[in-house]
Amino acid sequence: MDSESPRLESSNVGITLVGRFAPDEVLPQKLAESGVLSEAEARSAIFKNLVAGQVVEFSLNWGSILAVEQRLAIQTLTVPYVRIADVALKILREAQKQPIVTMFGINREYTYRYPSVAERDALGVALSPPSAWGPWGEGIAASMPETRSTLAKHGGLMTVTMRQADLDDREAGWIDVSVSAGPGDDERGWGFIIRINDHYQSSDKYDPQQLSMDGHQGSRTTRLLDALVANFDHSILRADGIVNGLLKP
Amino acid sequence: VTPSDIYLSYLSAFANTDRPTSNPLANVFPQYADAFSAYSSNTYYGINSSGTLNLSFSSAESLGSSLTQTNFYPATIPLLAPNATVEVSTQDFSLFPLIEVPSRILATASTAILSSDAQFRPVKLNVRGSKERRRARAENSPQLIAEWEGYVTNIESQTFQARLRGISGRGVEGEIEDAVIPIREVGSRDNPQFAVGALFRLCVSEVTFGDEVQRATKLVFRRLPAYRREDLEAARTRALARAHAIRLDDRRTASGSE
Repeated sequence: MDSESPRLESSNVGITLVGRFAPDEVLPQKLAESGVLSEAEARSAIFKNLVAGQVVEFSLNWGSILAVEQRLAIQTLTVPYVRIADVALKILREAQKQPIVTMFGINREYTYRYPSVAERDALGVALSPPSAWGPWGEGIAASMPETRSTLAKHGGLMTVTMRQADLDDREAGWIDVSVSAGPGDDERGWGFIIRINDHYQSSDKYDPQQLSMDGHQGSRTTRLLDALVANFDHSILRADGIVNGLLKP
Repeated sequence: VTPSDIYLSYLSAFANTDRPTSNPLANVFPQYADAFSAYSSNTYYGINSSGTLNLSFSSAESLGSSLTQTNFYPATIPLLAPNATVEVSTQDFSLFPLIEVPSRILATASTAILSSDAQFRPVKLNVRGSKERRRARAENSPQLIAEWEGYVTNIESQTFQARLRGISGRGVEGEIEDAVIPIREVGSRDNPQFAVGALFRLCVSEVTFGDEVQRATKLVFRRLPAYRREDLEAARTRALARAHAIRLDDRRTASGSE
């Protein structure tokens, strides 16, 4: 692997919850009424999409919220990242009347740049040697130096994903780490993107026979939200550790 | 002003009306319609439901031919009186060093009840040269250095005391310490939450500009879900039922053993 560390250009954190939600209950004013957002935050919300009963999507000064019937996604670019976990939790426990969560992911995305394409190639070759692809791959490896600054003709690794599936902190799930080539040129550097999907899911077959009065205690939804609270900070640190290990062996 | 020599910086105004069917900025500033269609897409849409005016400063940065980043600096002010002039704080620009921000930005409404044809003066922001901009853009991604979880233990006139637990950072993670923090670190949006016992996160980040490294702190109070009344009642009911079910059974033998 290359000895020089790439430069981190940007990173973001997101939580995507899958299940059943009521998008209209995620309108900024509704979230302000339930204390999820401050009044000032709600007033400053800038809508990207709004279809009554189907889609609510808006941005705030710290991130964005998207709600559709089967998905709730909250994303931020700014610290403290835990704010999106708090917002997700507060939406589902206080703003939504009967949410159902079947799975969620804590997603980290990092955009890095190397000064030259050769350095990015070194990362790609280390992660997936072209020689492992037979004569076809060896041909690609042989052509890389000659076309090093011509993006349209430059072959090599585009995307690779590694999965960790045996995790004891969740009923089911995985950690997927993918590395993808990004755009680049000699002035800005040669980009690549690392995405980490820390995925948790539960089955309702583990629900207790008798649920609490509000129908949630011990339910899959509650167990998943508890997992979100318990694991969020650790997930962020683990993602940073994975990336550091990937880039600085 | 052309899309190529400036990112974008305009004031947008949205009245308490229906959602605009087209980008209202293109109507307000027809001379920049091409720029809006090229750079702003639909992200300017804002809907006011409480009789207030949204102002959105937006800068869309283009590198090459693709839109790479859009930054919004929203501010909210009460409904304007005729010919009122509003000064909007520019403090939110502090983390966007590529733009030389004027000391203040003025917006003037021409009518008391704002409508889609409300007139605002577009504000031009001076942007540094292309190469310098790209270089600065490339170097200024904030890096989180350390993060603490804290709670307020005491509040005084200028400062408050807090107990901190390190979340991340070299020499910080897992450490417990007491700190005295200036109250000015508490953002105005967090004021309602600022009280003894309130939980917050304190983050220290570094931003690099050439050879210069700037360090910034950010303190955000957490908005955690409260227990619901019915949940507390249910818990109380279960606890009482279990308490009543406990029966002390003295089975000690003559020798005193159980």
